[in-house]
Amino acid sequence: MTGPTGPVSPDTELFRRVSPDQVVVDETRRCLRMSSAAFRQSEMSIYLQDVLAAANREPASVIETEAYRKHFLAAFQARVALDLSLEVETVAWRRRGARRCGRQEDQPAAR
Amino acid sequence: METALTSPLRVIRDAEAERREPAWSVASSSLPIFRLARTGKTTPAGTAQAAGMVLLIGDPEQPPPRIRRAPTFATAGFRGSLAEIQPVGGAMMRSSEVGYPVIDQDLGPIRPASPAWLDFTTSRLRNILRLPAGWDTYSARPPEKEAAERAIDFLFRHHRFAGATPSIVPLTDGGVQLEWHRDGIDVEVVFASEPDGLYFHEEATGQEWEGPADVGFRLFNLRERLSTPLQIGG
Repeated sequence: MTGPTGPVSPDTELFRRVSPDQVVVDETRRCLRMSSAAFRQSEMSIYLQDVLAAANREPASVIETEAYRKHFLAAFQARVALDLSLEVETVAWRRRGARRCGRQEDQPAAR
Repeated sequence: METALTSPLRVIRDAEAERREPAWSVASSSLPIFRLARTGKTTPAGTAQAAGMVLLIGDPEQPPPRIRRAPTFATAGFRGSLAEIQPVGGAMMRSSEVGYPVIDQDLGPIRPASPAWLDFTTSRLRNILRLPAGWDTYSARPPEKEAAERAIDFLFRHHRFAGATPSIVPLTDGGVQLEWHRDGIDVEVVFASEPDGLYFHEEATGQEWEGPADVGFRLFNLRERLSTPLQIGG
């Protein structure tokens, strides 16, 4: 999957696999929750909704292989990241098909 | 018949001396021996005290006193590898070995002799330390032992023995994170390459705070708020 490089539309849905090691129990809300640790990094690779659609892939397909059977899939709109002063862009220098959701320099850490 | 076994802890001493002394006193390491009522075992008092435990001896019918400035396991710190966790100064003794709860200065009435969260925490950290590079399916670094040891040291220094067990998650930069989500508050403590940090959120008020871990733990009284009532007996 390849696509254009550059900024991503705020309406685009972003997906990222989350390791089961980063899912915790929330006793207050009586549920499992993805830890903020899953998103506590300066930049991270994500899947783009439109790129997956162009490849005729459902978002869930990124965790359907045996290796990812126990993983979870986080989904959020690019707008959420942009509102937190994060950059969301496609970059060519990453491995084929990879995308980046990066934090801008000198911005307060987003949660 | 050994009548001393009817008392939770009873030092072998002559009856005359016992009458002259207060109902409860702190066992001295100079005492040669004390008796563990439930197990019937005898152990040098100094061994237990070296492990940071405060041992009280006396009449179980009398209310135990509060102790001031008593050395505690919680303040004794942590030393050693995760494979062999032990408090500074001695080997760990579990509450089942002691057979009777121990009294601590600032924790109020009664607490067990080892933290309720210890077994899970050490087991979980050991498992996390086995994660390979790329464990998140992307490019995560393997968790670092130093971060894990800082996390458990933090718990020993700040968390109550009867405190709630934290969730522990690895960070992609090699650090680890402790978390509690209970009673309407969210607490996360990060042990990574940066200075130890704490995030606090209160559901009812919407209050959020981020800052140094030790400051936040005190500021929001998390030692108390993250505690679990201790249940004794059946």
